Amino acid sequence: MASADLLQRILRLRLLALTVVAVMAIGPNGQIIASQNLPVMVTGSTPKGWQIFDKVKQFTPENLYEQINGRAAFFLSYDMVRMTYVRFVNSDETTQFINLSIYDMRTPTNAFGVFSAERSQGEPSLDLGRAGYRSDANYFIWKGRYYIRIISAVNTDEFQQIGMDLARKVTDFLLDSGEQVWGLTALPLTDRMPESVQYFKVDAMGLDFMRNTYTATYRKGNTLVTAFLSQQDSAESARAKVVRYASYAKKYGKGIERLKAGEVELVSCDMGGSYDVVYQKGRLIGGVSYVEDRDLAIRVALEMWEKLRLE
Amino acid sequence: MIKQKKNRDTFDRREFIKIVAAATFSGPILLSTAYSKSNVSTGTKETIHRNEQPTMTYRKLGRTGFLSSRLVFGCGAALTGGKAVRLLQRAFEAGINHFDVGSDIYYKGSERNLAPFLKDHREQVWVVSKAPANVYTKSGDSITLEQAKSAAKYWTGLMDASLKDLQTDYVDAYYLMAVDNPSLVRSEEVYNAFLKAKTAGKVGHFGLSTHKNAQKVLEAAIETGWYDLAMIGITPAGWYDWSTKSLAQDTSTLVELQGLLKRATEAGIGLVGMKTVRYLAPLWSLGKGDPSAFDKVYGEKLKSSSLSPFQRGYAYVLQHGIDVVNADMQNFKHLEENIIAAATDDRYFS
Repeated sequence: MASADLLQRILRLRLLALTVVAVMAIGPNGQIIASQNLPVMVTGSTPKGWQIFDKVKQFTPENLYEQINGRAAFFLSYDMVRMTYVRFVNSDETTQFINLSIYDMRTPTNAFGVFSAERSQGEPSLDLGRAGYRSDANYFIWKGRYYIRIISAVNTDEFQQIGMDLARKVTDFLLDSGEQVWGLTALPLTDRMPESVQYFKVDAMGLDFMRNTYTATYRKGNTLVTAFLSQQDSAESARAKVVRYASYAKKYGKGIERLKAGEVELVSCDMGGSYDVVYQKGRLIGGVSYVEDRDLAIRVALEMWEKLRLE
Repeated sequence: MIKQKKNRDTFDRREFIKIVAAATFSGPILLSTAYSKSNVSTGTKETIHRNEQPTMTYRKLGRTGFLSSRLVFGCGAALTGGKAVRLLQRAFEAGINHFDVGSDIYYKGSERNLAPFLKDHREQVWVVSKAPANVYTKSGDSITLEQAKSAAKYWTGLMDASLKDLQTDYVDAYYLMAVDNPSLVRSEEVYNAFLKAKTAGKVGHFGLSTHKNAQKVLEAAIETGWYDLAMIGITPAGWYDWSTKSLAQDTSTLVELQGLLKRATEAGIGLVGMKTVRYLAPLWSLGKGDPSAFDKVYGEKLKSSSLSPFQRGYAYVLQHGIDVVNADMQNFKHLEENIIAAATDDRYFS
């Protein structure tokens, strides 16, 4: 027993040394180097009494599909750099597993994008990273440029505890540059539903021309309204997007109205049973979508326009 | 104060889809002929009909009896994050009646994002979901009894979660997802787990999806007689191997695979194609970035058509033994192109 403890202490010291080496390796490319060194950190996070099945694996954009199949396209659309994966198995039972995946998404914005797109509403939140939640015995966390997924074989108290311990260890060793995500502050806070902001790098709302777009849900009385916002390179570019939006609405909807309220110009799109309202403000294109009440859609769009700050 | 600046332009959405298809392909009369021919030839008394529209063609799916739109809406990736939710209604209006999704463990949030659409249309559409069995073996190894039992438990657990996320008590079919091991296909433990779920009224039909070692997996499925549906990674040039993102090594062409596909059909298995044109897609979309890769197998009529390389791929497999194709459609542009391909595939072949 004593020798086992000694062995564990030696292993811990070796891992600490490796951790120091890994952290020191952060250079001009910042966390890319740390990301390459993640297998060392991950190995040190093996739950007590468990072991690593096969080995810690890393995947790049070129071979991510080998691990996660068709879902790879989703992560690649957000410019994933590297994914570190390990499967922990209970020493006695290989069908009892916990899978850990750490996605290095290059920027906090991209990491927020995949986290927010996959986020389940109403799950218990975690005080880890910038945001996170538990779903059964599975954990999903966003920290800086990283998105962490911990998937357990079964939902038991034991697996929940092991998963939580693992989540803590992983978020402890991952770094966060602190770089802000634009949409989280740009979208007005008033009436905004907690944890409702999502970031879509491509194809927001099913529209091939809507890129780098944030959406959020707002409570207006008894109605929930989805708003969207995207920052373009220039005011001209933002204007062009509004034109494309109007074309889309003409093609797939029932018609458009061009409205003016003071200096604000809006395009109201009748999508057949619901309304989208779109506007431009400087380099911003924004609006609301899928609102059944036309007047409410227009009112909320105007409120949003007024609250947006131009940078 | 708000004032109206211009008159409204009015469009009927269904009419628009018809116009797009007709304008692209020689007029509405030709389209109507194609639709009626396809529908009449496949309809029988036992056929299950759901949301059939003149803008789509249909094919009966094996022993299920379901007359499926030849274009299947692949919801898995498209509904992650809910970004393509608005496409569902458009797809429905165009006559797509077959919606394929996947477990939350894989396509996170997709089933939940499909649920509101199903609330409005559940009786009018065919819904399939799927989940992996989570068995880790080499394709050629036999799974152990312990692994089979674990797989059955895991898979049916995910099926229950799917029903909860879809907010329905029944799916028309549930697949064993991404199967590459024939011994898993032959697992009585898994099949019995399916039968138990079927008896409980949770699911109607048993299926599998495969895009690695697919030929052997399909042969095993035929041999068992248990499977009603098989979603297979197939291209005009032959089997697609997802593990390499390429055509399977030494694959026969689709023409050469007709015997096997016919055997599957005779065994009552409805064949759903997938990954059909992935190979043509750009690298960032997990393709090889070569849109002309399948041109060598096409006839002159198809090659000289105005179809895009992606549309050609779909049209070709639909004319060569594949009942329907599952397409990942993430925006309105994809949807529009694929509807046209599925609705007009037969006119490029003698």
